[in-house]
Amino acid sequence: MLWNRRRPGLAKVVYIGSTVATILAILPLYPRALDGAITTQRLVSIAPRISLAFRVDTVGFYFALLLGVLWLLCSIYSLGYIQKNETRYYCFLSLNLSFCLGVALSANMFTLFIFYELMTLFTYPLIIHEETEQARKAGLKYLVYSVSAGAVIMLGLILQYYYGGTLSFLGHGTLKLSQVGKPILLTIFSIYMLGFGVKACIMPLHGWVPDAHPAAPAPASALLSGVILKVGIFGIIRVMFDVFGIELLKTLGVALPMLIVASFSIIVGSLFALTQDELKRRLAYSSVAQVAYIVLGLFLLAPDGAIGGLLHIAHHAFMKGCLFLAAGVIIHETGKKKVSEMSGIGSRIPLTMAAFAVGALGMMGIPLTCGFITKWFLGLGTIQAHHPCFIAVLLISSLLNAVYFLPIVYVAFFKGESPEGESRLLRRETKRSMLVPVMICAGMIIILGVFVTVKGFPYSLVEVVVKAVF
Amino acid sequence: MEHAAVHIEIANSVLPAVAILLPLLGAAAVALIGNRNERLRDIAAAVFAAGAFVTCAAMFPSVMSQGTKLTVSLPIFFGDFRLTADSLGLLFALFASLVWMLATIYSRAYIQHEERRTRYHVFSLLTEAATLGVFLASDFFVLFVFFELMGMLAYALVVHTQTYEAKKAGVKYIFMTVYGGLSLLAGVFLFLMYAGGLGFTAHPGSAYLTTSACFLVSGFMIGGFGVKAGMVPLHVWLPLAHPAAPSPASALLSGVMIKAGAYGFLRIIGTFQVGAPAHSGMGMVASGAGEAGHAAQVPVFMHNLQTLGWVIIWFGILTMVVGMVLALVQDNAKRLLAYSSISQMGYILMGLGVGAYMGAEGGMGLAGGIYHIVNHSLFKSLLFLGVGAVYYMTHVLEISRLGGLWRKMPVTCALTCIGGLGIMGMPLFNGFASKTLLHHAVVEALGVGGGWMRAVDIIFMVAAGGTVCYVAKLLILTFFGHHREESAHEITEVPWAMRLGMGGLATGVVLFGVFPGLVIRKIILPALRPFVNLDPQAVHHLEEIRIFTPANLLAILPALAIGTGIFLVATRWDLFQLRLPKKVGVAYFYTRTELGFLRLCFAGSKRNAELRSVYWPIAESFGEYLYDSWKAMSEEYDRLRDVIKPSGIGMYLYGTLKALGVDYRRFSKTAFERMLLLPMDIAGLASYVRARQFTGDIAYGVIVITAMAALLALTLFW
Repeated sequence: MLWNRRRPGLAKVVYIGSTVATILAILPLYPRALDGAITTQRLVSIAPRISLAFRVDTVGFYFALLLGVLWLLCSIYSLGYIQKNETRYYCFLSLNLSFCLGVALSANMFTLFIFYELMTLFTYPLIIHEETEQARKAGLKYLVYSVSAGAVIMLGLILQYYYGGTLSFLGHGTLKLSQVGKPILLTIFSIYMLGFGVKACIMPLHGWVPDAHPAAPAPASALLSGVILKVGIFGIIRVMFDVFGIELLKTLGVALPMLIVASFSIIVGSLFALTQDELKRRLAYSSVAQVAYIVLGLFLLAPDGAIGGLLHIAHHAFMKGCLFLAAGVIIHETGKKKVSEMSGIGSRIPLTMAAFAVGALGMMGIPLTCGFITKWFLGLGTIQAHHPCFIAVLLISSLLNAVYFLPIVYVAFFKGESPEGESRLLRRETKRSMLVPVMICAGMIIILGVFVTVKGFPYSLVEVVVKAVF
Repeated sequence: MEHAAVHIEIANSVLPAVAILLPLLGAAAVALIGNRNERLRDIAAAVFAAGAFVTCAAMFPSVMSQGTKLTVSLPIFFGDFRLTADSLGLLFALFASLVWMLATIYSRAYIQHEERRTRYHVFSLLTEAATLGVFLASDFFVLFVFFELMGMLAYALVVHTQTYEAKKAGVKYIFMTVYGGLSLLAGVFLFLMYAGGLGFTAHPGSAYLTTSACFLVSGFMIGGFGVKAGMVPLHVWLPLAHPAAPSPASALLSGVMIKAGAYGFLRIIGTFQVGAPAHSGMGMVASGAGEAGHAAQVPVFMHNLQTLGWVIIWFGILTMVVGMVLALVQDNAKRLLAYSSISQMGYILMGLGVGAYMGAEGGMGLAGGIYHIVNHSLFKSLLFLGVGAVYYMTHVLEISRLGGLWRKMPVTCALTCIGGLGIMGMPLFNGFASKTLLHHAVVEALGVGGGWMRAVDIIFMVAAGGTVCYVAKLLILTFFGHHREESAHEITEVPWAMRLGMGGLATGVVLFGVFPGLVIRKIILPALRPFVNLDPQAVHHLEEIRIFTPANLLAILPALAIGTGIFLVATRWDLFQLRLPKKVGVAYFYTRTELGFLRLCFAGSKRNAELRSVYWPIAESFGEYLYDSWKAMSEEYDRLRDVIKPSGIGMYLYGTLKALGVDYRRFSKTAFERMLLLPMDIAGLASYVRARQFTGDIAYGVIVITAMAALLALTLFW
């Protein structure tokens, strides 16, 4: 795409320009997406009834917009953060954006799968970017997990096509209980869950996450956690809404097992996070727990639960984006990777740590942050679904989030002496290109948490999606 | 039908929003001015705090006197974020903003000797906005949002001095706050589920009113509000946090924010108010008269409310006694006052509990509780400010090191003594009126509750005696007698801003004490308006009540006698130095729980040994009390790891077993390992469990693909 080894500067400009252009290209679709209208475009036919085709519906648009925004923020951040092999980095970053968009805007399972696999492969260079021993190991682990998961999805694809006759997304379930039979439907469902569950890091398929995140450079971790995990979730959404359909899922009785699996992920992920001393590892485990929130919300199979789950895709993207980018600033400016070493860094990089604190509060679901909105809708969903016991999962998880996030903030601000004293005000905190995305993320956490119903914000889109499905 | 359910008008008005926005704007202004012009900054803070008070006062005529509800809807959150000033909420908002204004004026001088003055003012004003939001919320959702915010923002006030004590208190504070918020949130969700809405009253006919679901809901809510209200056994943060904050902030914490908890209790009781049974034709007979045979005629929710009231009474009694006993043995003046706050919250909870317990006849208990809430916020803030003034001059908080200050600080002494007389419940000071009402309420309940209420009455009396004693101890040791220690500083009267702040509160204490009838008619009774179940006759009776009767005046004599007795005995044999063993306090058990939890978490980490060393500092940051126990635990783990060398999940199970009390040593290493791994081997997951190394991951991939192939085969040849 922009393979310009000699002039990385130009590459950067072209790259950022293309990201902005992508967002601008997505935006005109907004009014149609809000109406719930669907735009379809067939590209190539591979075989009868199997084709590469694109379609913009509301959920796809929502995801695509989120991808664009977060990608732009992380790219700007990368300008300051990435020091070596810039061209390679930007090239793969850019390719990944287009593949992720391909997933978001695909019109059938086949297209989705193709882009999903491409994205999986092309994320690898981002993870091993640092080229350390640790990164290589993590990368290999990632590949093994993802490729085997890909094979599993392929299997699901075959089965779905064989029994259902189509791979297209039609806005409702295409598999019919009367034609296929329960055992096979259950098999297809579990195959899809196993396949997409690896990327969506549902426990116990999360093994690659805690290694890959700390190994990747900070902006890439933010993207991994913020949107690439969500691509797995997006696959699950498509499976739920467009392959099976809500009614069929209710008949199949898969909701409760999935809720239990998600709850397990939420609680155990948080418990694991609690014991990590390396900040990015802790954040990675936190992602395992938080992405399971989305699964929990979706599988409540209730409108409010689904709203909560879908909202959390964007909310978590900004919160985790904020935390990972802030972690990147910490590493870049102080070289500290471990929580126990972070005494007093609050006085060295106050704005960053303030943003980190906002992200942490968001994770805990304190009002005025978007995490609270998620928690609220998930809580409403549990009531709608007549599973109020899952409120306990949400609340315990919030408490655990407090237990493993607050000490970081506490240690940074209140522990140790401020080393520089007066001169700190004169010193620049960090590169502007890194500080600005962090602050934007923190700002978004609060804006999304307060002005929920503003047109164009996640809620307005998610509402349309959920209305169409339920 | 001249009952209490007066037609309540609802009018749109921006005033509730203005009351919250003013402190917010003030915070912004203060942050902008910053340290550039300290004088202007302090004045701005006081002006904006005063603005909030004036706004609340402006709502007074229409809300309190005419019974209108002022409401405004803000387009945030889900589009209809509604603030409503009803008479109950406005009463709270009114005294909250009054105390806040006076404390802000006071802090203008006080805060001079603290660091980070701008931060203090910013967070003080932000917290004021959140607190007013709690009181002006229109439903449980809005209330929860502000309640949580208030708790979080006040953290900055608690840790303001950033001393070791303050940080330790802060840790305890923040975790109790988070816990309380979650409990409240659970309560709110369940309320929505059972009561069919988030408004402050349940829908008639909902499960909340017709079944015992209300206990589940109110249990969770009390778990949340109780933390803030310092209800025993959820009070452990309070005696740490209130003394740790700077004095004006302590005054606000103890005087105002703690009342948000009591306000929550009132709202819980309010959820049961769905129109008086008297005019819905349902049996009114039994609830007042206490004849068991008629109990079946009482609607279920009135019966539930009675049970709930009974529980609250006893929590109140427990809180009252624990706070009183611990206040007696404190030497640190602010800690003494903090325990005193706990004890006084016990009075308030008891009053509210009696109000709920008596159902339609509960007007006296509720009125007494509300009156005491207002009074307590006046005299407790005053006492904290007085002690703060002493600290400002002497830098001493231990009352055994003070004495004879009345010569050098006569105004401070006089004002603080007014507060002290208020809390003791002396006639002509405000505590007398509210304690009299509370006492009347208990006496009325004697008719229903019998022997139990007799016990309540006696404990109430003893607690009042204890209050007299610890306040006398505080005042006498601080201001009177001879000067025990030469101070390094020149002690003079405090600056005018501090005197003004205290003077305002002292005026309130006296006014509310001299004109109790007026206060009851104009302020307390209108605040009872949301409680529509109340029997109009009983409410009317309240209007006529006379406080300064000989019987009431005589009723304080036992308390005075008990107080003087304890004081004399304790000073004679030096009993004020008594300390209880650690294991008696609930805090000990909290620590045990925290440790047990951490132990469980770390049991799951196979890197325990290496992590432990880096986690020590963090464990320490949770509080030094965890540190020692942590060390012991780690040594135990070393022993454990010598016995067996399990995988990650193995360690986790060990931890669970250990927590359950199973002795792992009974299992030999190999047998246990095998037992553990066998089912996982069968499930093909063993390699995953061990997939810490790279080979394990390959194995994982192979297993997944093989399993898929098997599944495929199975499906095709079904």
